[in-house]
Amino acid sequence: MRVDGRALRGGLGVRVRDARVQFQGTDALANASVQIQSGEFLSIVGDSGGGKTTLLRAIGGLLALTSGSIDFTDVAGASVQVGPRDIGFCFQEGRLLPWRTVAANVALPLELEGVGTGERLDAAQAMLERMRLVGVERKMPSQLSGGMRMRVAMARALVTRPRLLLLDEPFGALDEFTRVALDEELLTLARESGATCVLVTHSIQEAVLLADRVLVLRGRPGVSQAPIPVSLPSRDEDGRMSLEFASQCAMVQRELRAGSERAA
Amino acid sequence: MKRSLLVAMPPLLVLVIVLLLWEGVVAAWKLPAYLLPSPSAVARACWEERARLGAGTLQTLMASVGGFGLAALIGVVAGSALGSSRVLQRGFYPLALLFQMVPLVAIAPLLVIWLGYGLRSTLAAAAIVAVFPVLASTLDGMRGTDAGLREIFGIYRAGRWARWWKLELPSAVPSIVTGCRVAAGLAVIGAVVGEFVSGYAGDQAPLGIVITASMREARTDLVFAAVALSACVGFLLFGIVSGLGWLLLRRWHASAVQEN
Repeated sequence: MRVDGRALRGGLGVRVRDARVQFQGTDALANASVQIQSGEFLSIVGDSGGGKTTLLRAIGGLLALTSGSIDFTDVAGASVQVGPRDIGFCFQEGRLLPWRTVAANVALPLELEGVGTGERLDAAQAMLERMRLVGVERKMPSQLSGGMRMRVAMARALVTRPRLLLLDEPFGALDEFTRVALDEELLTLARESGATCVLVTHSIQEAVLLADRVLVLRGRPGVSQAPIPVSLPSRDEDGRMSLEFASQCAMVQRELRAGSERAA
Repeated sequence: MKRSLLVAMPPLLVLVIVLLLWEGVVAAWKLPAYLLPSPSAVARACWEERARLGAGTLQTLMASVGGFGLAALIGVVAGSALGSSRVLQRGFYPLALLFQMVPLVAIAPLLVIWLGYGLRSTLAAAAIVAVFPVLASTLDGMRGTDAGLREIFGIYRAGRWARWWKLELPSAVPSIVTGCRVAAGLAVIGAVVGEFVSGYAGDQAPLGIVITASMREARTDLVFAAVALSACVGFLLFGIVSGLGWLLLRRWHASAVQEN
């Protein structure tokens, strides 16, 4: 663990109980329950329209629950209140401000919190260095490739040193090579930071490769199943070719398919 | 350089041809100068009356630039206010739309009553016609702010002021620039129409007064000269506004980046 005040606080635990979200009378998420451990990496997969993103947004406080509850806990399991610094978001579209340089985009969360110019630019610079984005600080987002933009978005999400990182199909729009490279990077960052990570993805491979556990939301709206633990000998290139990896993916696939057969 | 020459050449060529035809028609039909002066006669009038025309152009330029500046400021501020409050928008925007329909010539006498003859009235007239496009484009631009970006600002609990200054206003800049380009042309129209009603005669008379006075004296060549100069004021203002807009947008917006 890094000797850094924020990292030492550890990741947030999340307790989701019977979470239900309705939009105009129809369920977007029905009865989702899951307990996410502090520092854990949880992937969420499910049919489109199953409520993956809805669950993620509810955890992040972007949506109000119709019923049920979501609580946060610290490493010791005690309930805690979360502030805007505690949660980092990463969206598929990146959502960078096109009129700001890369550095100013990464510094935005600190700026909105009132951190002074020097301090926040230093923090942004440090984060950019860690994301191997040196040399593009003064470029505009439109001058970057899709993969680079995503890395800038990740740097922005991490600049407040969040205890919970929520990722909504972050690499869904990227090509396969870039995606694999960013997956590996994300894995390293997640371990380094000690933050709890929740990833929504439509790729079973990506879900299994990154996660400690995979949560399947089955059906429409999705009903949460017991999370499937993932154990892989390694998560590098060899790991992706291993028999264990294939069988774990198949297990998640079966869990998903069981739902669609019942629906059909 | 080569490309800009390529862009400028065809319209310049057309202009020269039109002027030559015009000169030819006036000479061939022996049209009287009070009806249609030849381009060369207009050019001569320009030179001979350069002191009067120069002073007039300066007056009209001041009224246009001042009126435009005022309109841009009021338009952005009022548009932002309407854009940040649904209540204000519902109450004021329909009225602003209606107010825009009131013909300027009809208000100009009122401006004289309130502000007196001279620059203050013409400046106000220019501002009144130019303000609406800026206001509407500011409001439109703010409402078009990307929902995803709004959410980012929500996540970090940005205050109202930060939302406006750091998100909505920059989002609206491309739209505001377009509105300002329209407003630049309108400001000159407003200024000249204002001058018809509220301009001072004399050696500092603005172009609007030069036009009406020359019309009465049957100095059609001078009318043409003054019209051409007021058009130049319009081109100048439009050019400045477009240039400033390009400077603001060149680093990030497609409309400016593509021109690079």
